Amino acid sequence: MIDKIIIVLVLYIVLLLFDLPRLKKNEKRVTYIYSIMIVITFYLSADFIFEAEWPNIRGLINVIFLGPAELVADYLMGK
Amino acid sequence: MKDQETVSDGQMAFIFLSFLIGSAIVNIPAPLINSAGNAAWASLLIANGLGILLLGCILYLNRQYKGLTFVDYTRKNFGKWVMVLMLIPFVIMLFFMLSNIVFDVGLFLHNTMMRTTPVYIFHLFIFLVAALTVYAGIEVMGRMFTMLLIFVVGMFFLFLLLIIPMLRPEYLLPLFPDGLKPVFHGTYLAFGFPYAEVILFAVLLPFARNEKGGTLEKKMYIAIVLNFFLLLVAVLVSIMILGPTGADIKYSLFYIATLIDIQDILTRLEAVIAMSWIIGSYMKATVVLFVINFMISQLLNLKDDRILIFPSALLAFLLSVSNYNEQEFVEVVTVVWPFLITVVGVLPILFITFLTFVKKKFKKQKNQLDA
Repeated sequence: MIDKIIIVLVLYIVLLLFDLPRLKKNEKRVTYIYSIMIVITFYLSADFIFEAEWPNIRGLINVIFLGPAELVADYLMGK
Repeated sequence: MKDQETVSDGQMAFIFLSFLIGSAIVNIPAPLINSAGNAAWASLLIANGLGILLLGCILYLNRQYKGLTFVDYTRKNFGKWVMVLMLIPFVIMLFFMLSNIVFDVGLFLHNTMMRTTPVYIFHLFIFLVAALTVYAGIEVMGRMFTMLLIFVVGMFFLFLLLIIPMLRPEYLLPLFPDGLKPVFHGTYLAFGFPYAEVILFAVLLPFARNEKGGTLEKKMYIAIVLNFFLLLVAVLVSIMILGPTGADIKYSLFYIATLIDIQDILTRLEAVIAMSWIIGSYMKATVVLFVINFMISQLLNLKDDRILIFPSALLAFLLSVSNYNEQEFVEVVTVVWPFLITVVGVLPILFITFLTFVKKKFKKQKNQLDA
């Protein structure tokens, strides 16, 4: 877990060091959008570090598409 | 699109070819043989035909809406809110696709060559290089991918030369022992990966200079046909060397490369095959990340279209490393992905093409009546 925490921390530090000066020059709207993306990555980072298997877009896609996709695949496989 | 970078038509075709070959050349044979057996080539042929039709649609749209991006002409056709409703699932699908591409190559490296290295290390480096390439811009991508693709295809042909003595054409028979249904199942797989993914070029085509004489269209068609031949050779080689067991060996070309042994001098060529696959996956991941970033920037009308590259890459990286196991991944790629991309990506493109075609026809008729 420690190695994952270190990797995630390094990534955030590098990201902010690189993007912060550019964000300051940009419009406020860009900062909001950027912040929303970073908040989503916090959630995914926690999921990654704690191996929590929290819901994410893969789960959402499975809920919506797995059923009909299985029907198509099963039909084509002759099941 | 006025201030955007551009690439030549040839470079766009190279980007397209590298995107299509990407990881498919190593990934396609096993699942295709598994579902369609010896008739895997027929599945590939049908899927390629559908891919060409799809390419025809996006080239038509590019011709009709010269100077406009995919987001622009979707907005023009449907209005702002319908465009947003249509393209948000599209962008989510692209994140899903990007995380899958990198997950796949990470899994391959972890399973075959570097078992003790944590899989997220591979993901991290691929995403890092892909993000830096996207940051460098499409012109750099165009120049770089041309060279990398020549290396990948060159290695593939060298590999083919070395395995000729092992080929056993008798393995190609019998054809269609279980009827045509398995062929259509194979088509479903090969259409989802890689041919339906052609739709991403609806976003990229406006970056081509579109030189006079329709060279872009010609070169794009040549690229998709060339891709078909390369994948066809990969599938046929897998069948002719591995026979019925080809279906059970996940990375069949990699396995075949391990069999090459010329007088104990030329061995361990699988590392070179793995290298070209990593390069292929990297190129594909880069193209998808570029499309994601460009689409988000266009959707949100951002002036700085590079500000979201790194957070997008971080998001996709974290998606690729959180809660996925190999079995679930195989189910996603073979069952869910073809259906998902058809519904979220292909159908909207077909609908826009149909709408554009009808509008143009009505306009023409109206002009004739007015005259």
